[in-house]
Amino acid sequence: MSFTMPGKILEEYTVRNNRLGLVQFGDTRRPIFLDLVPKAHIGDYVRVHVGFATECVPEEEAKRAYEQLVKEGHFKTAELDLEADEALPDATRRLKPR
Amino acid sequence: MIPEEFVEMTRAYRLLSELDPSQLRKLLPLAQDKQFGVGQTIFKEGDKSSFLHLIVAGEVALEMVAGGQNVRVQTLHPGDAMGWSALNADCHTHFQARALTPVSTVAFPSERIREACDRDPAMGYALMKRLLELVTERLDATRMQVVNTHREPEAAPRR
Repeated sequence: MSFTMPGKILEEYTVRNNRLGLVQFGDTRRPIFLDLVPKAHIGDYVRVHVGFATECVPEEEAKRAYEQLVKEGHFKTAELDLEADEALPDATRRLKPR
Repeated sequence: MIPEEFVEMTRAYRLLSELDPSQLRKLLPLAQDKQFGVGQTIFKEGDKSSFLHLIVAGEVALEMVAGGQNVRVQTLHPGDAMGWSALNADCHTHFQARALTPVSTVAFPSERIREACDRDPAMGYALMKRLLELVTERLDATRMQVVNTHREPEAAPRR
């Protein structure tokens, strides 16, 4: 799974020798490997290729990318700080972090 | 408590997730996302192997054509690799692969992955070891399937 837009790390877990995160891309959330971005933690933005975060992205750059996607009509809002699950469509809503 | 989807993710990507980060950084740029619909043929028996696929979601039937019919040899699941003959130049696929459900794979173009392994033999060796583990598991599964198919039915208990 690859995404052209940066994603925001919402949760972190360690499974055996791997570090993974729940990463939000617009209105979609996916588990992503974080092994290649050891400095990235919850709240940081990362670029993802085939399921692996490959680089950190500065917050300002991520926000500009989302604003561009909103301009192009891909999203309704560039607001990424979605504290409330209600902000997400039902299909992508997920239980609060355990 | 770790959500099950994260545990499944490490199973599905085990061919890659067990590599060292430095090796992974060399392989990932070669990888492509591939999607296949239900019933779609991923490759045919005898095709030139063009991709090594790692299945990350869905189920795939490995089949051979016998007597004009498709005979299923094995069902592959997330975490399984297919098309590994792509690692040998001029090699052709031994089976047909068909998607039983919507399937997602991480696919490595055969020529590019061979070049990367030739350039960095340590990385190539690490990848081959992981791949060999998967292939051995598949052989064991096939052996069990054959044993079960040919097992004598147990004698019915006497009354």
